[in-house]
This record gives sequence, structure tokens and C-alpha cells, in this order.
Amino acid sequence: MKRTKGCAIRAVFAVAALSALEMAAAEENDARARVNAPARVAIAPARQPPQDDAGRLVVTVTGFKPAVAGTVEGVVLIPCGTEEREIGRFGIFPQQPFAAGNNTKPQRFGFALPAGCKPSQVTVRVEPSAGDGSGAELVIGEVAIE
Amino acid sequence: MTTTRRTVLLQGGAIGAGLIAANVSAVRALAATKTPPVRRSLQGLAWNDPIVATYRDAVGIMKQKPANDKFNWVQLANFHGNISTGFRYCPHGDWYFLPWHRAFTAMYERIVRSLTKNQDFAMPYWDWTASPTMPEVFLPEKTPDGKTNWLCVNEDGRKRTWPPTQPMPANIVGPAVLSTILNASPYEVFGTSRPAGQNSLDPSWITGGGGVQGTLEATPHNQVHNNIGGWMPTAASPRDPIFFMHHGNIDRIWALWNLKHQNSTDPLWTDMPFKENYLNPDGSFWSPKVSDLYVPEKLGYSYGFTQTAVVASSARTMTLERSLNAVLGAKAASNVEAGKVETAVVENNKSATPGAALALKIEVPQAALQGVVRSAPVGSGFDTMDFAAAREASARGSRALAILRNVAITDPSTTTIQIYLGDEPVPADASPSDRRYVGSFAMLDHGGGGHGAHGDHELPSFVLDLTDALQKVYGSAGTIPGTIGLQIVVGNETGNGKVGSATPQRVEVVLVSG
Ligand SMILES: [Cu+2]
Repeated sequence: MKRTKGCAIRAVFAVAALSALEMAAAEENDARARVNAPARVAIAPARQPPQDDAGRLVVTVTGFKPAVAGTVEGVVLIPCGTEEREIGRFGIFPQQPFAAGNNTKPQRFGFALPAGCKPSQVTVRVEPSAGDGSGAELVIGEVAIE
Repeated sequence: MTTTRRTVLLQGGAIGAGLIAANVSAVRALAATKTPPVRRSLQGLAWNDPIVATYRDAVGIMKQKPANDKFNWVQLANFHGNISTGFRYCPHGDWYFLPWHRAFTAMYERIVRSLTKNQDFAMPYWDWTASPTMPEVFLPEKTPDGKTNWLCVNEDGRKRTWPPTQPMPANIVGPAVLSTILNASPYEVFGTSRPAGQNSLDPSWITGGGGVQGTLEATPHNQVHNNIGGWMPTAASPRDPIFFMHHGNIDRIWALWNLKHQNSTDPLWTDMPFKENYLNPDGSFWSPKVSDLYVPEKLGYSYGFTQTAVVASSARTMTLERSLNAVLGAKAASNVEAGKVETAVVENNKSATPGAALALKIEVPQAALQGVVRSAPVGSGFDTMDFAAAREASARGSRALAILRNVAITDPSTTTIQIYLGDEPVPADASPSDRRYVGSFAMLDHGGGGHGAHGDHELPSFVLDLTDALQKVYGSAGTIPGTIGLQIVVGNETGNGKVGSATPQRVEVVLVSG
């Protein structure tokens, strides 16, 4: 996949702007994602080898806090070659707080892995689709290839 | 210079350049069998179309019923869920998501038929891939005749918040996402998987979630709900009448997927009953199990995949009806014998320049234009799943084409030409997500330098399909104009090089009735 110049430049800016915030977030808990503070999660070793060589990445969300106003979505990225590639987006529906526990199961989302990508970690961003997303938080549990 | 498909870049509704080779597929006779009412896209449906009017009337009847009536609007929504207590019967995040919501939408469709005594009614759907802005007939508080628009949400604190003119983002509803969805297989990857650990048909497995959501549920389903705002991001989402437009499209995508893929055959899925989860129009409970819900026609509606006159945009590039080929092949559209083809012609000597769009007004036969605006579009994704059928069907629908004849382009290697519909000036930052966008073209290969001074036979001509843009711009209005505006805008996609001008010698609008 070829990237346009515009995208490449935007990506560089994003990384530069985020690094300080990301480090702060990582110290606290690296599986919590907020706007401008993505979660980086190592991919758990496969329980059984995926059927084809691509397989599917399953992201488990164990908790969610909605934004004070507006709506957010999760964006899933993996390193592939020299770039970080978006492999999909998910919404938490209903857009209401939840925490996995006794009566509440975690929410799980599957994404096809592009052929030739063998990631060992995943980045989950919180992105506002309406409003600025402040107050929103995704808690990421296990990430595995199935 | 000769123009071939290889020397031009065509996007959006731009479907051809030069003379289009005959590529005519047989027109299959409409199947004579009686089929249930066909659910159609909202695109092109006016506020006073019988389908929209019937649904609006029925929602009004339900909203005005006594609070304890079985068919009261809020009572019915409670089968799905409630603001204070959350989801009730509806599954999300497991493999019952699709069949449960198919039956839920069919229940409303039957109740609408019964309340309005209109047995021909079929629930329309919002094809957010083809028309990503909010359906207009759901937005105003009053209909143009001054009555309450029951399709609008105006409860305090529950109004929709998504801006009416902002498209749902392509990374949620666009063609690439739809293609990922339609190519996902098997069923549990497409339509969300079973809950981890499920080992029985106990109904607690229906509503607990715990499966892995496929792209269909995770991405457009969840995020269109959330983005709309108001009731829609909540467990009480069916209180917004747009819910059934959204779930109709989700259901249609499942039916499309079934053109190529098999449902799960696991008895833990096929045999699960949804006991007393729905009402029949007579007020008794309807308790289907999953295997009762495979085939829309058995539930009293159809998406018309096999016999409706439909047009698929990418299929259009492959199939042009015989009469259309005659139009395209003629020196001028007026040379073509009439019949089901009507044409309007404007001669032109003005140019679209970097500073100013070329705006043309073209008088068109109103009845033929109405036929185009109201013709049922094929839903997005159909051509992905059954290209041959889409191609055959494309020979039948009504549609409108614009032919830009003999277009002189200066600086052709650095100039892109975009076409928009309407008279309002196109803003500088307009893009293909604008509902008035028709298509664009650019020359890739251009031996011989500038083209301004060449004779007729050397200048390229372009064909654009206006049908989608006409439906998006005029579809929700009750009246169809007798004049349409076309705007030709020159630009440059790379930001490098000089933007030239474009001067078509003649613009023809061709209306073909299907
Ligand atoms: Cu839903």
C-alpha cells in the first residue's frame, strides 16, 4: 500500500505531539486509552495457530467511559513494515459506561489482519467522532490473534 | 488525438470517454411471480411518497396511542430496551444480533401495514454507503404541508445531534468498509460470533453478549447509532424512527451477504427461540426461532435482488442499453430517434477557469426527470456480491446522463475537471462527499500539447451518470424542477502545476426511462 505525502506528514506530527502524553499514560496504566493517549498492548501468544497465515486480531475491551459530550470510537492500528496501519474501527454501543465483571461480559472486536503483517503489539486510539472526546476512556484487556 | 479508456481517469459518476463501445447485455424479462413488497432505499423518496407517508403516519398513530396500549411507540421500543434498565430482549455482541433485529424490524413493518391498512408497505432503508448524510425526510419538525413530521425527534434532551449536512465518515460506512463486511466469512466472522462458552439454548445466552463482533456490528452498526445522538446511542434507540432505516440496511447487508455465503448451521444458533420477544399485528406474541428468519420473502418482504429494476453504479460502466449506445455514438444527441430517450442540449462557448466555475442551466422534460429521480436505486454492495445480476439489471432502470462533447482542456496534464449539480456556487473546498458531486475526469495521456485549437474530431467527450446526484439533490422534495444546473469546476489534485481551463462545446442531458 502506498502512502500519499500528506498522510505521511500528518503521521509524523501526530507522533511528535503525542509522545509526552503517551509516556504519562504509560506510567499510569498502559492499557487505558484516552483521546491523545493511545494504549499500546502486546499481542498474547496464539492459543492455537490461526487457520490461514493472516488470521484475525481480537481486541477485548473490559471497560468504557463515554465522553462528557459527543461520541468516541476506537481505532485499531498495528505496525506493518515501517508504518503503523489502521486495520479497523469500533464503537461501543450503547455509548454508556460499562465495566466487565460479574454480570457484564467484556466486549470483543475482530479485525482481519492484512496479509504479510506479523504484529507483536497493537495500538488502540480513542478518537472523537463528535465533540472533543474529553473524559472518554477505553480499557483494553487481552489482544490475541485467533 | 484519440481518446481511449486508458488515457483518461474517471471517478464517481464519470462513466466513459470518447465513443463507448457497445456492450449490451440481454434484458431479462421481469419475473412474473408475485413477490412480497420490496424494501427500497430512501434515496429518491419524497416526503410525500406513499412509502415515507405511510411510515410517518404509522409512527404518528403509535406515538399518540395511550401509554398502556400494546402498540404504543414507547411500549414497542421496550421490547428492545429502556433508558433506565438497559437492553431487554435485544442481543448485541453475539451471533443472535442479526436474526433478532431482522424479526424486530419485520414486526414493525407488519404493524405499520396493519395500522395504515396499506398492505403494500415495505420498510425503506437508509443506504449510508451510497447516501452518507442523514435522510432529509426525517429532519424537519413539520412536513412541507405544515403537519407534524412524526419522523423527526424533538423530545427535550433526545434530539439527534449529528449535523444534517455532514456525511457519516467513510471509515465507518464507506465502500471499503462495506467490501470488508461482504467478504467476511464464515457467518461468525461476518455477523458476530457465539458467546464464549455457550453450551445450551438457554435464553440467557441471547442477551449476554460475549461474542467477537464482526465489522458489520462493530463499525457501521455501532457507530451510526452512536453518531446520530439522541435516543440512538442508547438501549431505547427504537424510540427514534430512524432506527428501522438503519437496521433495515444492516438487514439488507445480511441478505446481500447470503447471495454468496452460508449462515451458521450450528444448532446452538439455528434452534434458538426468541420466545415472546415480538408481537403480531393482532396483539398476540410472535416467537420465531433463528431458522425461521433466514429468508426475507418468508417474512413478507423482499430486497428485490432477483427482479427489481435496479442500477448498480459500477455495473453501469459495463452495460449501456442499445438506445444509449446510439446516443453516445451519435454526433449529437438530437440525432437519435426518440422513444424512451429524451434529450436536452445546450451549446456552449464559455470556459470553466480556476477563478470561476462554468455554470450551465439546462431545460429538461420534467416527467422524464421525475422518472429518474424516483427510480429505485440498487443498494450499495449488490454489484460486489452479484455483478452479473447487477449488470443485467442496470439495463432496465431509468437514469440520466450528461454528455460533455468536445471538451477543450488547456494544461490537460495538471487539470482535473469536476462536475456538480445545482445552481448554488460550488464552494472552493467542495469534495466528492458533497451530495451535489457527480464525478470527475482528467486526461492522463496527452500527446500533442494544448488542445484548444484542434478540430471537433480531436477533442474528447465525456459521459457522466447524473442519476445518484439527481436523487440526492431533488429526491426528498415533492416537486421536480424543469431546469437543472450543472457546474463544471477545474482544479488540480496534486497541488503541482498550472490549472487550465475546460470548455465543452456542447452539453447534453439524456434521460432514459427504464
Ligand atoms: Cu441497533
